[in-house]
Amino acid sequence: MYRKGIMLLFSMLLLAGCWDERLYKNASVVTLVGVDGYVGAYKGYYAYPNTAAQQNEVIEADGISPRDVRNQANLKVEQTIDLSELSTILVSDQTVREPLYDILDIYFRNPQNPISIKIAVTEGDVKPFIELTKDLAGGSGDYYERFMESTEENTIFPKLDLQTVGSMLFEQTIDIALPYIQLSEDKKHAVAAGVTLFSGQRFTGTVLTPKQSLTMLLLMNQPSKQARMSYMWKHDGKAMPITAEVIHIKRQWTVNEELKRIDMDYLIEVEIEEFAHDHLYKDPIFKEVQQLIQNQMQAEFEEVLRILQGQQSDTLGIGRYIRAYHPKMFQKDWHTIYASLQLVPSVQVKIIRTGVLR
Amino acid sequence: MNFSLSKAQFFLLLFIIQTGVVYISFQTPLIIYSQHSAWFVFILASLFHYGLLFFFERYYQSFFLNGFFRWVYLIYWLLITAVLIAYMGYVLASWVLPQTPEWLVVMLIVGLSLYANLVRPETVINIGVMLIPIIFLFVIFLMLAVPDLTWSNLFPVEWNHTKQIMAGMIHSMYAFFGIEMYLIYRPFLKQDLQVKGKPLLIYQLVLFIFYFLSVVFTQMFFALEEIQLIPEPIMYILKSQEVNFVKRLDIFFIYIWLSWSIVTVMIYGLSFRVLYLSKKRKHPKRSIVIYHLLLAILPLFVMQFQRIEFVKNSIHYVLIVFTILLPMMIICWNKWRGKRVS
Repeated sequence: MYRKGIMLLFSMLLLAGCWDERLYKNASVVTLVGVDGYVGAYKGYYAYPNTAAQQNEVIEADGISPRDVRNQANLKVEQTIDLSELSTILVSDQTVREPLYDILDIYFRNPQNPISIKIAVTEGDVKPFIELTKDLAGGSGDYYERFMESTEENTIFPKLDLQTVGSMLFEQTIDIALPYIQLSEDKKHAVAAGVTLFSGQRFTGTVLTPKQSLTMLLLMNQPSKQARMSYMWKHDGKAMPITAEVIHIKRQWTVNEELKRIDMDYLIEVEIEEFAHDHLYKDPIFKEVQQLIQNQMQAEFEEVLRILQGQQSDTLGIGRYIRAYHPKMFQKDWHTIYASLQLVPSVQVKIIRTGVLR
Repeated sequence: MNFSLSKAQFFLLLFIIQTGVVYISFQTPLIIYSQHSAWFVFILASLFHYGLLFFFERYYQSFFLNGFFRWVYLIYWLLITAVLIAYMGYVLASWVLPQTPEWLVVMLIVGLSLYANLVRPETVINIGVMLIPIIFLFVIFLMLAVPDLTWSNLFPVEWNHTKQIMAGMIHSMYAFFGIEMYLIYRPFLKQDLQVKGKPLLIYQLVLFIFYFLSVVFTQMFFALEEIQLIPEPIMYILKSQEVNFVKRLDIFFIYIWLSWSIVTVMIYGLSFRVLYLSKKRKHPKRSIVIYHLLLAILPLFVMQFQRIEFVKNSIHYVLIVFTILLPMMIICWNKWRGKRVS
């Protein structure tokens, strides 16, 4: 009796999988999605590998919402679109002027959609960025994923995925800065062009250049594997480039609640990676080089903070810090308070290594 | 019913009842109501829980249930188990089995519980052992989220916000789920075994750390505004982690959680058996089958978004009555009358 019962249960257990079985061979497995437009008039692009032709197919569709666009795209493919292997979403710079969450909701709501994926903003329409991946042997999304990961390692793009972006979109106390990509002059490659600044859920229209973006990440105390800055050193009428790599950052913020002033002290330890003049073992040269880097970085820090405050874009998470440790100073309309804060950066640079040459 | 429990079996039974089903979701209401102070409120709630365990240990012999209260608890367990199964079915349908008929999922869960409760009670008592390593896996994989945690989300703690603290304490009740079982199973512990003191403290610490980690991780992972939209935060944290060996880590853990929750349902079934069969019955097996038949039918009426939300938003009040107030009242009443469990 029991044995029969167990067998019956076991066979039911096997049956349970049938309804939700999804086989890759029956799906167009999309790795890259592009979104253009706004609520009511979206245009979507879906790139999936065509193994027979050894290239990527791109399907284009229109719809009133991102989900509707996908439904329309399904009408044009021989196999249903499947986003479970999605690795990158590209959104046009016009689309992100509207609340970003409008296009991301479907990714958070449906558990089949991955959320540990990359997102970037394109200069102009998304279409040419999707199409340049057509002839790639690998997945279109993987190309952009690798591209962004390597740029993250160079401390140009912040390390973000869809989940962290979503989390920040719901916070008043921190803003996102999304990777910004352009097309190269020959239109064959994507180029990292800095980061787009958001205030709340909307793109402010301001883009930080790669150099400013690196500075912003240093202000955030988020240097990645490489964070290099190059400056021109002028000495005895000659100009000589210096490249320094950030090794460590020590950050201390001191808040004066009454004056609404934050003193932002940074101690940055660097290694000299390029200095053809050499002779860094000579104290005057060493000090001059160190001072030059410090002055340049000080100016860059001030410039980036000015831009961030001007755009009411709190990408550094000053709001988070204030809310947690100075709650009396924190107010719900944080962006307005943030713009009126007195942010005073102070950078001290120390050269701690000079490579294998003196 | 005649069986005896060792200390390890007793505490394992309690641990599974208290953590099964609610572990993936109890953090959301707690954080919504107590905001940044959630972790602190949970520490207070755990101290209260420890006090309650202490009280139960001291007076468990006075928890004598007369015919009326026996039926009150039997009906309460039946309904609470039906709600748990409904929630399990709902979570499965949302996360992994959207197309599978809900009745089939319910049948499978109930079928397993029926089988376990038709054989010797030791089967249900010992089955929890297989869960120990996989529950550890839960915690280990949660650690993958450490780089994504934001420490400042834990502050400011609003010590003087009494309303917030009270609301948080009430919603911490989910972590006390099934604590009345202490009183049911305590008399079955082998006579010479001591529970008060170190064993009770260790149990409390293990339970506290296990729950506290989940509260702190959830608080640090999600923004306050975001957590209101996330009903199963632990699953969401696991879903957002990228590992090489599996595309969706959440599916792997949904099934771990499912097996853990099924054992909880089995233990509720065993409790029904223990209480119902504490009096001699003519057809004990028939009663168990009827209990499970009801369990197969009742959840189907609850497995909808609005009903699940209603249950989630109100069940903590039911828990306060049946896990704290009623046991205390019964103990005090019996103490006054001098009645004890034989």
